[in-house]
Amino acid sequence: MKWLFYHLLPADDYLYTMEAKATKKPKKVFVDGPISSEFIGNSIAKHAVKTEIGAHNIFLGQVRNDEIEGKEVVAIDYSAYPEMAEQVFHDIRESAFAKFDLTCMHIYHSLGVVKTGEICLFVFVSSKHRQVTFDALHYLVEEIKAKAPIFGKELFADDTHVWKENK
Amino acid sequence: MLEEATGVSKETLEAPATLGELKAQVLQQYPALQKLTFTMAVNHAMVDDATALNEGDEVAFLPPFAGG
Repeated sequence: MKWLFYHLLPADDYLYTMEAKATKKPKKVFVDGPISSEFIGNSIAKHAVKTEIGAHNIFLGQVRNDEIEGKEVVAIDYSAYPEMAEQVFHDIRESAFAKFDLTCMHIYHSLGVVKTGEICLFVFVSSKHRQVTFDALHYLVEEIKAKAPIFGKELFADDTHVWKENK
Repeated sequence: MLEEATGVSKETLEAPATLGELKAQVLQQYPALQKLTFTMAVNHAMVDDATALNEGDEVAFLPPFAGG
């Protein structure tokens, strides 16, 4: 069976087609609250069966304790314009698959309250070789920061807040 | 952010011809918005002020993006 399958279609093309198809249905990006290290670990473990992969690359965004006008940020409360975000993430994903020779790609972002030191963004790309993963990861994180309609309320210990803006 | 400034989250308006005209109309109605930074999307896409509006369009006033 395996031989027949490879004979019918080059393995690389087949994988690309499978991944491209998988991106057609909306993938779940938003996670309620912080992204746990267990979730990240499990996500890595799931790729053990994809033995054609030679390089993984991961970006983790962590909530930072910025000091604003003498007050320290203790958490960020994330919200989004969900219908638009779904479209934007779909477009970013499609463009990354078109630009880079990726085997797979996963994007998760928190909604709701994420405390300082906790993870709010998890971007995970895999390919045969390392360079593609560095380039794709950089592209994806910048695109997400610039284009995804996600908003962040920076919360202080005294229950006041300011709205965060990506630089 | 914009909801805090205007007290509204959703509103149905008689659509002017373009997005720019709608923006001017909304800024006049909610002067508090004039001090805030925002961008606008029509039917989930970022577009410029010259964009023509049609009946049924969904226009969103979006605060600065802060994902990641």
